Amino acid sequence: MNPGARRLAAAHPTTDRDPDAHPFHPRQTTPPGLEQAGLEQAGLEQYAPDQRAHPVDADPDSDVLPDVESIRMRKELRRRVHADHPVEPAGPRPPLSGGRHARLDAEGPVGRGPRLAYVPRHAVSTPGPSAVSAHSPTEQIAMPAPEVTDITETIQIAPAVDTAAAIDPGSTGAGTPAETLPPGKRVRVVLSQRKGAPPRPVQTVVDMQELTQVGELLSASLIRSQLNLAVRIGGIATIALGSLPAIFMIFPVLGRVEFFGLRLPWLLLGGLSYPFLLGLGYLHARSAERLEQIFADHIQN
Amino acid sequence: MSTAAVVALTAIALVAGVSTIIGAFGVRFARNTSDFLVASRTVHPVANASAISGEYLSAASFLSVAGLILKDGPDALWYPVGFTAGYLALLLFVAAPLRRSGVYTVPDFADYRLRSPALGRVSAAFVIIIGWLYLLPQLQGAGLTVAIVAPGWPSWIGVVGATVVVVVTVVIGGMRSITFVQAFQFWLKFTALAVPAIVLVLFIGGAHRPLNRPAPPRFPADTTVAIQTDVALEVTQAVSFTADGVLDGEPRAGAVRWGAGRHTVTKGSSLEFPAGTAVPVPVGFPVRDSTWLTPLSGDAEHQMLGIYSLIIATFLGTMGLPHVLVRFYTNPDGRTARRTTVMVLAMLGGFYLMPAALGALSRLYVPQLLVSGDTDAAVLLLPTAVLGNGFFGTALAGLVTAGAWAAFLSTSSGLVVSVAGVLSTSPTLSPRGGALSFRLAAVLAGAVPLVLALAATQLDLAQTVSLAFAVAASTFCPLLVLGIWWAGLTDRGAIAGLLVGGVSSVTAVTLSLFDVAPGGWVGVLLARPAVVTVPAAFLTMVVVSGFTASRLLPDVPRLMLRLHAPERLGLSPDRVRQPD
Repeated sequence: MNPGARRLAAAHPTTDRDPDAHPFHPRQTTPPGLEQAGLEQAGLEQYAPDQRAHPVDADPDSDVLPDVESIRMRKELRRRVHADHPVEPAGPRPPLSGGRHARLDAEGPVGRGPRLAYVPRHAVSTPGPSAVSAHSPTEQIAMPAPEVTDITETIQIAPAVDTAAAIDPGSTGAGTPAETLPPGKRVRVVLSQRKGAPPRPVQTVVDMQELTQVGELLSASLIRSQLNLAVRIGGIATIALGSLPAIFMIFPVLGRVEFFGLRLPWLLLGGLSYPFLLGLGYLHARSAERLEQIFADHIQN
Repeated sequence: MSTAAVVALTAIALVAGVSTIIGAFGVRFARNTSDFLVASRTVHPVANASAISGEYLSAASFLSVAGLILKDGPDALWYPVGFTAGYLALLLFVAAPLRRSGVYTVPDFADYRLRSPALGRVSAAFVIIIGWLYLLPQLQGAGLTVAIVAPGWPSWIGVVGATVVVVVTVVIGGMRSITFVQAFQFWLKFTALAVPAIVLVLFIGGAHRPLNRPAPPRFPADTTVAIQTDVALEVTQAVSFTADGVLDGEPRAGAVRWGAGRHTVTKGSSLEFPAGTAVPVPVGFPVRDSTWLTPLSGDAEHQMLGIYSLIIATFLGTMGLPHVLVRFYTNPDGRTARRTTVMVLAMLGGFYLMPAALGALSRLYVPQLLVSGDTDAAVLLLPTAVLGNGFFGTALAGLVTAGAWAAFLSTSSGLVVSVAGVLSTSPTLSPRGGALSFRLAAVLAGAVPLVLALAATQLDLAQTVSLAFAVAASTFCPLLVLGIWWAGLTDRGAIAGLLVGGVSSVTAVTLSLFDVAPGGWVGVLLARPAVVTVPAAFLTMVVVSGFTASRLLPDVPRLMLRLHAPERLGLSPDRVRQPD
């Protein structure tokens, strides 16, 4: 099971304490049985939350292409999800009248700056200089659905590939899904190719975009962990460099010690302090990226 | 005019010309105002890191660090260490969140985070103050370089020439072209110090005279020193020389013998020392070479206080320098901003090895600068002092001159862009906005420091630069750090902190610039105010914010999240449209 799916599992609001508590989730819980539900297939893991989010769908695929595999998988999924979560979890929801997109038009932030547009998790590939943005036309397929009146609404086809790319930190996300997919390795499971049933955003993503209480706690915990990291590394630099003048004053003999023909103060200040600072900087950049990666995985999965 | 002067002036003309040409070439890509200001955000991280380093390594780093080492020994190494460590602080606390805020100047950040027009105006004023304060030593350095390499030329030619080249480059190119200019100039500067450093170290090899002598440095050859400013000198071994001018308050002409003690020389005097004479050293600095090699040497007062204050100013001031911050906007996202900063740390670390080596060598070969006080010229004079006026010496001197000129141009153009950006986007100054007013603002941004540089007296360049660092650390560092990491900051708190830190540091800086500071620890604090003004600014912001907590914006959590959330969550929309 990939790490993303594990975090997803941890995000379900139930009662059991998770032993390896996740730093970004304030109320660390694990659903009983979801881990054990046997969702080993990658595709199933990825789509489980969507199904959980709207378990009361009417069977929408009577008029869809007879994709036997996808129907079978979806039914199996729904069976399992119903078993685990008979009731839709409470919490703020996007207005149902607006379709199941998380549209923020009505309650979005009033004031300056662009509004937080809803970005489906599958449409956001891994960050990077050339990352495909959520607005890239290659990532969206507009399907005219009868009950959708807003022309800007698009139905998100969520290819399994993109999810894979979003999980893999090394992926650049620059290529099209077909290019990044190793041939024959994964089956394209089209769960959302149904009339009027685009995938629901994950609850945590909604939490983030609408900044519910859960979202605020998650955000504050991200900021706190980044600040801890920065203060720790800054503290190392400050103590290491800041103690030097005092040391040289208290122990003047250290100022005359020679290594390789260079006096200690010259060696430390003129030479070694730069690799030291570079090492700290590298360590921080890597650790901060990892914290962000964990946070984003946690939110999106 | 000597061959060396012709070579050096040609080098200056080449650098200025190439910079202008690259700038003009880059203008073909610039389409609209956001292109002008943020280089379309399509700059590669390596190019961007080179550009940041190129913009950052100013006259202070290129010339003055070596000169201060010549005078002060290892204590002067705190300047380059602090200049580098400032980027670590910037990386830790500012780089990625600032990039994610989508803004690229401190006034914009203040507007984004606290939505206070008053705060925006106060920060805009400090951007302009810091920018002009930082431009002043750059232009003075350009004047000094011209006066040194072309003896007989007045220094104002260099000052005016540098200003004109910088303003023209900015006006025709905007920042897009500046990015390429800066990247080019970083590698030019690096080469211009690395090649002489390596050649001189290899040439001298193990044959150099020992540095570790319990005696003052000696003139390597017969030397005539022209005194440009009044100096007080310390003599430990009696020296005999020929003088023409006012010494110890008396007009003297002919042979003079100084006993041990302190002596003063009035400006306009000319002293001629025979080879091998002990060099008189400015008062307060280590006299003997063996003490010069050790830290905290010399008999200046309160050295620890000064060093720690310098450390605070440089560590925390870098993040508040306007020309550094604007450069981070050319990163595509927060993650690249961090990686770029790490690359900058590597580039600066590599660069700063050179001034240390050259500064140590200059103690042996150009000690006469200690007498005249022009220690900033050490790097310029070292190649010919070691290698003679032959082909190699002249060529290396030309290379160093080109690098020095690149240092003035790159830093100055970055500063002019930043100051002009603030001037042109300020609603009170240019109601219409747009590219035209940016160009007019660039002219204004260059003209004011030009006048200042011609009028003001000259300190060591690195000292003037560290004054700008102190102001930046006392104003923008608390604003950025608290704004990014503390949800409780209010607009009133930020304004109060900016004013407390800014007014106190600017006052101190002005007093030391005009040399009216008293002695003792007060004088040290006025020359290096950061140790007091930075904590005062932080404290004021926190306390006043606590009293005005009712003014907190309701969507602070959302703003904070946008600053820290990774881009892939799609929560931090860019202010500037992505290029299509």
